[in-house]
Amino acid sequence: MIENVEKRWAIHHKVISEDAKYKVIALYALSVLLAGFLFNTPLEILKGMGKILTSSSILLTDYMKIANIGSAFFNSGLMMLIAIGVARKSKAHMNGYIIAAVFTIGGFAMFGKNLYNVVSITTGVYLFSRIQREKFGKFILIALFGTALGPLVSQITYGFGLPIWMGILIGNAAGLTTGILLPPLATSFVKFHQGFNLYNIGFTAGIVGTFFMAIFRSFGLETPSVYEVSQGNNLTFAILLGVFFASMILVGYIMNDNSFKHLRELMRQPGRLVSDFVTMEGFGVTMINMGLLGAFGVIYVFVVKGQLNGPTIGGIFTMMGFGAFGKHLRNALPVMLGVFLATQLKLWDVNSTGAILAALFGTTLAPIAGKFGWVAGILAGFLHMSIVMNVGYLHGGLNLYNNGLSGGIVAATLVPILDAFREEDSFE
Amino acid sequence: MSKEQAKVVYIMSELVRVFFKMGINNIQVDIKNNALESTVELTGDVKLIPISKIAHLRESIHGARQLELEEYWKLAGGNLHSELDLVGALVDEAEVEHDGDTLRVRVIRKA
Repeated sequence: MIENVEKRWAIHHKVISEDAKYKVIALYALSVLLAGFLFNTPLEILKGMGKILTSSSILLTDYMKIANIGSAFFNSGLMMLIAIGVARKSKAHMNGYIIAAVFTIGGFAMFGKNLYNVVSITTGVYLFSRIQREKFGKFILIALFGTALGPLVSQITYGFGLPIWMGILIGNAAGLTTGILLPPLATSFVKFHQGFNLYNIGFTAGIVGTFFMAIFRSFGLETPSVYEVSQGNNLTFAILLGVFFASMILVGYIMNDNSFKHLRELMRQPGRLVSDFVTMEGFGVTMINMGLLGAFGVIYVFVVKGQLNGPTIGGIFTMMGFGAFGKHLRNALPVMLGVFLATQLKLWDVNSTGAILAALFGTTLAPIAGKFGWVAGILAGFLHMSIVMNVGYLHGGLNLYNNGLSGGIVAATLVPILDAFREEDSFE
Repeated sequence: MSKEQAKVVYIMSELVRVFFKMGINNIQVDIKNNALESTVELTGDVKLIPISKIAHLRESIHGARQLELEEYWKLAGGNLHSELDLVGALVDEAEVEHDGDTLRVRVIRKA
């Protein structure tokens, strides 16, 4: 039994029990897993899972393309259920941060994370907690988000042409090492961007990935440039995601006393780390916010005439998940607008998968808009578009949260400048 | 200095920032630290203070520890922006009192 910490002080919103919150999120994870069977037979999914588990998984490897659609959904749902199980086992509260982690894992399980490449990293974080003689619960977010470096394990295992036994050994050793290194680095790096980059582990994983890639390159090992993305399923996916997000809004509405109350308050939050909307405004209204963000993500892809595929659905899932931990339409839209404007003036096509991912994942910088206003948010998005297209080389696609690395750089550069030109009294 | 003591410094720093923001410039800080728990208590002279500010303080520094947010402890007190909610997640107990002349905030963090 996990005690719900909200009830100690929450007086203005309905408190939902931890059991109920776990059940709701687990049901959504299960529905993603089962959605896989709408597209493929169990045997096809089994074969597809084999391809997923043995792929190098570096950016951009769409599991819908290299395996099949059913396997990608199955893998996504399975990874979310495992993440929920790990959180439950460590007695974590199903609050905004865990919800964000679960859906981020689900999103990236469409294009990079799988059961094989995340185990050693999570085990490494667990080992770190044992070495420090601290509760694993203190590091649960790092254990979950740290799986961003899954491709590091897969690439060493399958991508460098090593004998398979050696690849498995070295790959998992690298994963374990990464897991042990991440906690102290994540704690330290958060100061770099002052909490204005929501994907803190993404930034940390980017730095770790950069170190690994530099070492690989010094031994003549290079990761290939991968661009395996599926297309042509927009209508089917739009219907599926539409039902998914509409149900989220409906469930949230019901759990929020059949109302949209507190949504305005939620959207007034700047969203900077740590902004747990579940404890601040309640679980029901947070679900509504998540549904709105997810739906807007789908609309954006359609507006720019892009493709719904593994990576872009992953981006939408992540944006929706962080609707519980810092993002809402009010602070996310300016950043997306900034990315959109950048595509109009710069080299990249607005409907390319890379540009769409920059818009969706670029909302990691939403707190800049939340704190400094629309113009700053647009500027952040505009800069992010250029930076994100340049940092991928550093880690050679080993860090799935490429936008987190870019977001950290943009936030760390922009925030001190914006702070310097603010009225002193405007600080909270 | 142990990591636990470092966390106490960050929590204290964030609370001092809150007091300054409320216009309280005469602050007494009392810290007790042992192997089991740490207590940070701040008192400051302030006569007029809006009730809404006290309510906001109470709601933010709620004293309901959330271990999962431990990763972010270095954000507390470390920059120009408020991290009161984080302080709330880092402590096990919290009291906020204003008796008309003095504001007192006391937080307890168990090791």
